[in-house]
Amino acid sequence: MSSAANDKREQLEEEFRRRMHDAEATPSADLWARIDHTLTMQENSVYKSRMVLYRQLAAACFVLFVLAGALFMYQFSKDTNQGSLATTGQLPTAAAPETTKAAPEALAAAATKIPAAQVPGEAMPQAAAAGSTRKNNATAPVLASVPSVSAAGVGARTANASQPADKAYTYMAGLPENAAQSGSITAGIARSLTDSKLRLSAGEAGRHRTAFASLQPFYQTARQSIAATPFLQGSHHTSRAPLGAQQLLRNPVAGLVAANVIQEPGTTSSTEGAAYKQQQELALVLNGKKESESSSDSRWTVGMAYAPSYFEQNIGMPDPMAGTASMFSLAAGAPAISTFDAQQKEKKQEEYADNTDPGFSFSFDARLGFKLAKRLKLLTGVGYAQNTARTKSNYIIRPLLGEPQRSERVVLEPATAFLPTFSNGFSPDSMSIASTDVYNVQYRYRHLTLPVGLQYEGRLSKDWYWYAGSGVAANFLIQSTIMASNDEVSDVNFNSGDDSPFRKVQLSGNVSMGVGKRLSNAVSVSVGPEFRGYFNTLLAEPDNALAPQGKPYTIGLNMALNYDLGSSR
Amino acid sequence: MKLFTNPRSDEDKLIEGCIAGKRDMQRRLYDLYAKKMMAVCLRYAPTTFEAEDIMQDAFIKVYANLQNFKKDCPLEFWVRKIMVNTALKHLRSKQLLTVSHEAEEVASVSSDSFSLSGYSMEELLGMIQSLAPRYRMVFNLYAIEGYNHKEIGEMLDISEGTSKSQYSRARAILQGIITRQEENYKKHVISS
Repeated sequence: MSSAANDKREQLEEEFRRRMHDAEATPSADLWARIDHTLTMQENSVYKSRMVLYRQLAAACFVLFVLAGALFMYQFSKDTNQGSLATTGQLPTAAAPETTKAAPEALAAAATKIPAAQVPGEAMPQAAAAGSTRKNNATAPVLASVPSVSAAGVGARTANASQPADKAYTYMAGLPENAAQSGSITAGIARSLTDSKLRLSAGEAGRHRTAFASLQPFYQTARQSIAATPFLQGSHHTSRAPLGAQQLLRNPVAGLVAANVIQEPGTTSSTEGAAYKQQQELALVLNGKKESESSSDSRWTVGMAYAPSYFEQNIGMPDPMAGTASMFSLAAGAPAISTFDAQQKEKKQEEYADNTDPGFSFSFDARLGFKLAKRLKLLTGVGYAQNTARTKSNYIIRPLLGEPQRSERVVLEPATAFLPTFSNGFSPDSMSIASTDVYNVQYRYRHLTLPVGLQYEGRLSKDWYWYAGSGVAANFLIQSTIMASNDEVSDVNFNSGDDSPFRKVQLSGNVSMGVGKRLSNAVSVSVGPEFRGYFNTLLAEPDNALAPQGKPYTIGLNMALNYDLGSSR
Repeated sequence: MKLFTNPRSDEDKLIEGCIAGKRDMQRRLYDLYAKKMMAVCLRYAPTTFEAEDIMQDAFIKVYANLQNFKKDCPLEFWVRKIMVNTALKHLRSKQLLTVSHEAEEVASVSSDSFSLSGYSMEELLGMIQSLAPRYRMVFNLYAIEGYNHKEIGEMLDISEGTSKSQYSRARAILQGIITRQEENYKKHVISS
């Protein structure tokens, strides 16, 4: 505050100033009690707002905990199933010799394209002998290899199986028709081969994987194999041995069932029927359980989404000639400006409105999805969003603070037109607005987001689908920054723990729709527009701001990559 | 043992305590400035009741914004400015600062040999409070707070010329009040 040198102060002014400036008056005794009460009320409201924040954080932590637990349980059950299957494949060691009796014949017949009928049943011992000796027969290399494959199918029990197994794979990869004819090779065999400590080189292993991958479409479950097998339909007497090999090759579990049936060639038909029933029931139970697990597993999806967007921050500017603001206000109150500076200020605010452009805004989500119904999916996860807006300016505001006692003016830190609207503190007496070179001002808001939503998918074609989704999200402000490229203007930065004029937690809603493409059974991609509207203003206390404050929103393009956990197996 | 205490250091501790929300420190700050600030509020408010309302609001703002006090001016000055701003806002919200154009015909009184020594503070305060709100604001801001007319015009959204004319009217009214009181006093003395 300062006195104007040109204003003549006469005796009256000096007398009043001398008597009144440092005068004292005693307030009523209850005034402090009223102030104390108001302070207590404010503290309670702050406490309540913090409690709301903590509750939201606790809810978010709970959701994450449940999701993590579900994921862990899923992974745990998956590992357990795999482990039990592998263990089961190694159990029936004693049955292996009998089982291998049939396998050489079947595979040899398939390899040489000799009908099974041309290989008499009585030749089985010879074939078995060939399988066991692996020397005499002209097809010895091939035949010798077969038992090892079969043995591997049930657990690779032979100690010297490594070399024949290698040959067998090569052989079978080259004979898809025969493989189809004699039954497909399952991934279980491959696993069993791995489990059997076969020492394959990396190159060989890769080749075998490729070979098996080409045979995968021929895979059938044990139940399907048993149901489709003539042997199990009553005509087993003529083709028992080949079918036994098929069963072994198709599925370790089914193979076990079939192998146990094959172990009893001399039993009566009634005994075989009873045994068949028992084995079929076992197969049904095992495969049924596996299928049900598979279907439940397929409910879960994981994915990630990236959404570049347009961001409108919707922060209002105060009226150029607004009066003195409340000291409690976020906006600077009643800065004194000259007529020239008033014009400059109006220009500055017009410039702000005209030149405010969206910056590069984006969000990134890690998603976990659960299929509530065939086409309806519940999505949740955790995300990160960075919203940016920017302006170009060629004005610098220098707030001035006068002191009447000393007739001095203190120049506060220069600011852009935007910054004083957030000055939560002392109001300047006046301000100077100066033109300068054009510089950029960037407003950046970083949020941690916890979304939850629903997505409905409809089929367009075999691989293409459409989707429409909607959801809500809790957005926790991590950091807000206002940066100016001009060295004279200070940057403003608020971290999550700072006392910021911006809202700490914002709720938002989003809607999106688009199209997707299934790249494989497990992997799909989708893309589509997304609108995200925030339910609150950016400023925590918009009622205390001089200008009306709007609610921010984003319009962007959501690109997602989804992985179906169940379809991969 | 401290031989002396640094007053600045005490003020810093007081400020820090208030920022931390310590109620005893807030009470100390209130006790330190309450009387002076009450006098300030009384000059701007038409009644004691409204002056206390202004003071209550202003102290709440002081506590809420103390963390933004940059110590580039005396704390008392900073608190006083908040009182003045709160008073202006309070009166503006009640539409008491609308421009009054009714000219009061007052005689221009020479102030060459002017003295207020015979008046108590309450009497002077009563004179100021008797002014119309706009005149009271301009008179307070110019004569007592020390603002110039340009600054007052910007604070009250009026032109510098309007501020000058309103001040001269306020001044004339006060002079008229003082003159009438002196004349009444003389008549009372003569009659007695």
